[in-house]
Amino acid sequence: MISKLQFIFLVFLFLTNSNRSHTMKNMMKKNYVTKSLLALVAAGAIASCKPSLQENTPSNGQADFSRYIAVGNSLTAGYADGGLYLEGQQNSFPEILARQFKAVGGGEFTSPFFSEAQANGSGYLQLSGFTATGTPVTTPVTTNLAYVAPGKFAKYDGTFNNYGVPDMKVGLMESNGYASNNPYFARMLGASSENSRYIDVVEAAMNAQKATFFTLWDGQNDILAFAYTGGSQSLTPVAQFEAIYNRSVNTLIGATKRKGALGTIGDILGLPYFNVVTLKALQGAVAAVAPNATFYVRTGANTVVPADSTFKFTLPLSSSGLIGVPDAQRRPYGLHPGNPIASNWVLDPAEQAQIRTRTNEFNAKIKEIASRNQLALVDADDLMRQFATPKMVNGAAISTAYITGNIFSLDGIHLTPIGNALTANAFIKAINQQYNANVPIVNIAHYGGVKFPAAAAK
Amino acid sequence: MKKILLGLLTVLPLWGFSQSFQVNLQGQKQIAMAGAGTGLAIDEAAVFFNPGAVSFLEQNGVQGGVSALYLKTAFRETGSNITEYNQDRIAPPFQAYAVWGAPQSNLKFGLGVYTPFGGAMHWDENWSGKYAVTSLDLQAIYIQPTASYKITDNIGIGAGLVYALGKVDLRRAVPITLNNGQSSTAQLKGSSADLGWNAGIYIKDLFGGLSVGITHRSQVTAKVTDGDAIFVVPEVLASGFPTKFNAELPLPATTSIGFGYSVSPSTTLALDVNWVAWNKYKALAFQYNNNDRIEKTNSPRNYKDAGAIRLGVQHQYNEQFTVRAGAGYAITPVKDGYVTPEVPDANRVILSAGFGYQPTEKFAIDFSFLYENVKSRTQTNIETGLAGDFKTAVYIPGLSVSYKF
Repeated sequence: MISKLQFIFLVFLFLTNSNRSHTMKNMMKKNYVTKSLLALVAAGAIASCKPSLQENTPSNGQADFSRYIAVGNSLTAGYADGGLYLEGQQNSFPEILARQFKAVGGGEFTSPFFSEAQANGSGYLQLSGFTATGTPVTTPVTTNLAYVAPGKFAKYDGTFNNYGVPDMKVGLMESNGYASNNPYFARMLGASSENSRYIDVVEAAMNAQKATFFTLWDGQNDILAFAYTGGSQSLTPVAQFEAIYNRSVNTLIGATKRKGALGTIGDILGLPYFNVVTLKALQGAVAAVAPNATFYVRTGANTVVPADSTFKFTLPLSSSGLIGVPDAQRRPYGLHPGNPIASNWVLDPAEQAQIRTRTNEFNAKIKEIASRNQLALVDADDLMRQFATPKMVNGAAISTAYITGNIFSLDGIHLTPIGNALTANAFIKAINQQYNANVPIVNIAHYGGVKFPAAAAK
Repeated sequence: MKKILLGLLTVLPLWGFSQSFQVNLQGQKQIAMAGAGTGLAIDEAAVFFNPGAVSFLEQNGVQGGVSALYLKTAFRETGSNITEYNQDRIAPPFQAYAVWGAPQSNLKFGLGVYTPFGGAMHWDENWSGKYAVTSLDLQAIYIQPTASYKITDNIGIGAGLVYALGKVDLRRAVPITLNNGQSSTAQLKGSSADLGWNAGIYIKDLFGGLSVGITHRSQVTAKVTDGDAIFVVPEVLASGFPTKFNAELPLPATTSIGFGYSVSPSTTLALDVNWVAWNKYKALAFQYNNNDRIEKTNSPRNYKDAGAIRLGVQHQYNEQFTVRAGAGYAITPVKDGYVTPEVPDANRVILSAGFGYQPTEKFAIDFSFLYENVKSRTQTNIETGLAGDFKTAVYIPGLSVSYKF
């Protein structure tokens, strides 16, 4: 293609030279117009030339992405809306990441997908509407599930690369027999022993598949198990967490010195799960019968105190149907010191401090291990705080707010496709930085948030 | 008459950018000279370029022209390896002028209908900046009756009243996911009718074949009242969204000084310098009739004044043929951090060429081709956070016919 400037110049020359001979004048006259029209057609043809930008050439840098294995929990598995189902699996951050890796030598990547016939997997929640006061109403999806018996899925047949297991804790990665408590893990075992340890299953797969790269994002459940239950379950001890995490990372690196990326634990207390049901929301719900009501809660220390705005309540409390229900002594639940909100629904300030402290301790260990092993590190904790108030991402206001924030799915803990895409981009950024690579980022606009009930144009 | 014009408005989308959303395609002869023409009295397009020069036109005449504006923009999000392009769309900005008066009279009248502002930018509905904008169609038609008076043999003044008809249609995606997985959408659509003016002075043969023109075209503030706000959102949320909006968009004032110089009886040079008061474009703001879910939006633009310089040459070979060429440079009014995908503006180089063919004394046809190379620009928008590289090229062939009487 001639350059545009050359073209303009040629048109100009053509025009200026075309009329040089007066003897040819009459002949030229006709030709002149015809040729000039042709020149305009040529101009139109040139108009199809697209402007070009300087190339941004993808590069794998010092990493080898040819076989990627994803290790972790529900966030890695693609769990969303309170369940593991096909659409969530397809939008997991490792799936998105693997698609981007293809530009830099990445090979095939697959997750242990539920079949189309059982696409709804474990079942999940759908948004069905809002109450008059604006509280979201969810409905469980109960068709096309993948259970073969209560709490049991059919074994997944075939190799896969996404080893994300919902509920997996760091503290459980080396536990024998964990599959009996976790149908998602049991489903992955294939011919392996039911007694297998998670880390061994991952190691065997990595060796068999000649894995070259891994992500490990885990540790959330080591804190969430405590947080979900209002402090009823225990937090994983720091020493145990560090020892298992460290050994696991060494296993993932292995003899072939694989490269990879680790992620820190996000800001647990910033999850919508702990921020939708506030004291104000509880008061609002009973305002018609008891304006400015005082709510009483049982703390982790087994004392009963009136709740103030520093207390957090878990999301299911709103739909538990407990509030205000009188006991045998006609004391309304939560509104009388004799019938307080049970401790398992509440994170009191002391419990919140424990969560924060333990998250910081775990994250310090993860960062230390990443740096010692020269692995890429995604600071999910920091990232999540950036979205505590709405942040503009390509023109969309994105935040950690429930439903409207677009990052967290209906369960208030797991990611939406947008949340997964943002996570994938955070991993890409960290990987590019650590390994001097240029993995292209993913287009957030191709991913959605919480799906609203069937829409009609206004 | 108004009906016809409004009809025109709906069938002829007009647009293209010559500097932000200003369109400098107001006469095929002048386009072929990179848009210079303020210091010349060459044809009826003087109604636009310099009303003061209208009184120096020797014959009554009418002309009509149209350009086929093809603008292609490439965008690549920072960190991505995918280049996205705006959709192909040929836009036809047009111009029509009439000038008449008694043969020996110093007073001439003119009428111009032209399209000084507009834009048509359409991106894919799922492109990376969809939450910022998916499409903008902006159209302004100015209708300008003009009077021009030759004060002396060398000095003419003129002024016109501008009746400006505007139309806007802005669309973007809204980050609320519908049940089918698609994004919600917003469309803001409205029209305006406002007044402005245009005035100029033309001094012929100031010395040694040099003529000078100075013009000012006033700002027109296009006010859209009760425009339609069409939100396609989940039904459960619909009652919180507006249905109507009001907005104002300044179509800025332009002051120009132009020189014409006769190198020889057959060769003329033209030089224009334009100054556009873009600083009035502070924000693109919309007021809605329902603010439950979205507040009044106020997108900062904070444009700065910007200029352009245009140099053109016209050479008449013989009675029938005239060739023209030009070059220019326009400085963008859009500051760093405020570049938006609906107007991905940057400084630009303008190159032009064209020719005129006049088979009879009364009839003439003029062709032009204009090429604008808009510099690539790496930007992170302050409001939307959209970050990436923009690069635009514009190709505009055009033609006009004129008839003298």
